[in-house]
Amino acid sequence: MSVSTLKRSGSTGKKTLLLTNSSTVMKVGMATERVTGESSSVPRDFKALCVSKKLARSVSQKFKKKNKTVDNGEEDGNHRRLSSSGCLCLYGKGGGCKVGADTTEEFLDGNDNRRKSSAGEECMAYRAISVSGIEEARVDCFAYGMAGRLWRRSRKGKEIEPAQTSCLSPCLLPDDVLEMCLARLPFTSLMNARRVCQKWKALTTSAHFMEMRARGGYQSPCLFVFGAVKAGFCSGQIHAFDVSSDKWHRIRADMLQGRFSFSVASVGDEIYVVGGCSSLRNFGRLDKSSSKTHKSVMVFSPITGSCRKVASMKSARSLPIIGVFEVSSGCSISQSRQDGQDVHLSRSRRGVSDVYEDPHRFSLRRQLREPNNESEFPVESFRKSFKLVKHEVDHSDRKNCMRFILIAVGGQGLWDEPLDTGEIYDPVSNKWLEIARLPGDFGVVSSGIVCKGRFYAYSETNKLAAYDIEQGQWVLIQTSHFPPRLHEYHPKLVSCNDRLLMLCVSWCERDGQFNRREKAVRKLWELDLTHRAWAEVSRHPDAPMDWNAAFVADKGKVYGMEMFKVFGQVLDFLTVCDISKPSEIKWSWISRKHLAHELDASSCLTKSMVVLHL
Amino acid sequence: MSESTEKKMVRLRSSDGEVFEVEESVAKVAKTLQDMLEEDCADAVIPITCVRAPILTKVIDYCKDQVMISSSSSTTNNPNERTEQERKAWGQKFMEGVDSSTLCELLVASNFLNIEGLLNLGVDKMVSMIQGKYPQEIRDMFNVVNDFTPEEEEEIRNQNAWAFERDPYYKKRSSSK
Repeated sequence: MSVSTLKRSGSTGKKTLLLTNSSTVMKVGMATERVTGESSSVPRDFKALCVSKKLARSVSQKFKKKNKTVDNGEEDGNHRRLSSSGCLCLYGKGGGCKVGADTTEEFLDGNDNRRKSSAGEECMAYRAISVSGIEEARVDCFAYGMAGRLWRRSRKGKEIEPAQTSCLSPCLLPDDVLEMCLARLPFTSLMNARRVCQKWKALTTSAHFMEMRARGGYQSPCLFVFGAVKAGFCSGQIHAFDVSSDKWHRIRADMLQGRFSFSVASVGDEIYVVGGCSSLRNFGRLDKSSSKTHKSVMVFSPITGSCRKVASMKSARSLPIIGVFEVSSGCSISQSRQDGQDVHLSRSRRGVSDVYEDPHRFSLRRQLREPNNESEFPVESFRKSFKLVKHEVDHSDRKNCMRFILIAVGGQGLWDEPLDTGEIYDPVSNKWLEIARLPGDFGVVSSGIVCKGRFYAYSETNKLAAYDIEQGQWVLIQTSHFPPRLHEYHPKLVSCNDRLLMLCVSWCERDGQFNRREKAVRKLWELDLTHRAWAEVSRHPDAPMDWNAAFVADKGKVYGMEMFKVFGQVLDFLTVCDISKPSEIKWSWISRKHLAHELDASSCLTKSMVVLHL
Repeated sequence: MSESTEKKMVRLRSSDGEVFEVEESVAKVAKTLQDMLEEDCADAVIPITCVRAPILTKVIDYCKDQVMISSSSSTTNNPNERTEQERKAWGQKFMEGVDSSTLCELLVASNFLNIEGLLNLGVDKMVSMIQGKYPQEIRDMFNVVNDFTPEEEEEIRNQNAWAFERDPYYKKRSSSK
């Protein structure tokens, strides 16, 4: 074994080198070191060898078996040549990242060398290895191979971004470890981390990263409170409460300036702000006497901090009752409705009253006919197209299979008259479509929520109706009895884990000697959807001070916010109740931090709240 | 090599040349080493080139503890077994006083040696260090160079203004401009 062999042919020389036993190793090591300066092809080949797990293993096995037979047969040589070419392309695929991240200090300290060409980095890495001695380099090969394997395993099914492989990790960490750390940060901290450097930003903005956060359950709830009034002015400011860091944040949303009495709902990771009023005479003031009611709908995205406008509703509404349907992306509104209407039609023929039937059925059908190439048998063709769409979806990304449909019902119209109409919005087509009116004797809707694919509305006259989006009609729901409630306090429907819940305030039953004085209590009720009976779930420990308390449910938890003025001070209380465990349903305070002390008392009336997992 | 009665020992060498002798069971906590040992391709001394001696000491401490837990829980049921809470407390104590550069090295080591438990401990520690810090503080802590142009920085800042409100470092930077 001599230096000249190495010089002559890089690759074969390397192989023999790896087979040498430890007594000759140091000599060869020195030889390689000398060679490094002269021949650039040698390090590259050596590098390729390092990365190959397969080769390293075969080498080490050989090493064990044949111990000192340096000059083994041609056959083995060929075999190894094959695997070495295999490892070259493996390296090309991105094993290089590991090499870059894991080598010795000399390499790691080169923070500012980050933008050096990858070739330069390879050479540096190589030098580091060869200096530390050949014997180490041999195991290094193995280790890198392992690391490469782990790397590939951890990214199963994902392509390794070639752009990132040659980049040095800023804090010396391999990408996947850094990613793990960043994924576990609460959202607001993540936003700060995103600002640290380009690399961190690139890592944290990828779709893969957000998905990892969602899957790993590292998202935490954020409560967004809208409609704050400060010094008589509707500033449009949004208050966000990050539960994990126990902190309030203020978000400027100039598009919401001057607007009040709107409704909000969370859709995916965005918030829809629907309808509302603004004062005509003194803009920005909370002045109901001369206000304009809006049709417009805005979408606020907390992730980008931006606000955009989407299609306006058909009619102006303030404080509409809104809900969000989750439907499979295979059906757009019209298509799914079309399908449902067939059922509906055949039913109505069987003698069901047509009172609540969708008046727009026929116009809808006309609309639909155009894109579907006029046909003699519309029903059949719709069925087909429906199926076709579904089929396509099956092939595409499964994660995005669900999409949302927004429903807005009731509220007050242009002249503050209560409305009994409703409409639905499809974000894909960006269109609102009117739906059937509420049942005639239903009364004014005071609350509503989507549960199990139906929109439930509760009226001030204690009636419950459900709108089925596929059937396109309202159904009155008869329940055994309604929970007792005080009329002044708005009931609030919430839904989580497919359970329909309602919060309402009633007089406390007199329980014997202790509570002689009558007092009001807020209770959480659940409607058993099969037996249609309400049952008490829990009792809110706080005295109900706010008749317009906001309640939202998300992922097994019900969040509540009461805001009221007492002793000349506006106070707010955030409470939460985990209803997923039936044994310990209890309300607790989320935070002792208040936001309302800087707000006007009128905020109590205008506030609304949504919760998002970020 | 003497086998049978005595426990098999494995020798590990850190990047700075220090050699550690540990029981095979301890070394096997590291999946990478376990694979090596099982495939019988480990030498008398296993060089671990990317891990310095002080870090390796820490890693071995962790492995030893893991071996102790698993052996006590398998032989005698319960008495020595730790509850989830205790384990958490232990992990916190283990990571106590670890500074950012040591932590990074520990993370690299545990990733390289494939020790999931230690990796998780390290990641949790890292998260607690980054959490609630301003970008400049994070940069200082981990020696990261800010490679954003002022325009870029302003842009991201605007995108997520609510998350970065009252950042004293940012104001300093923009006022010095």
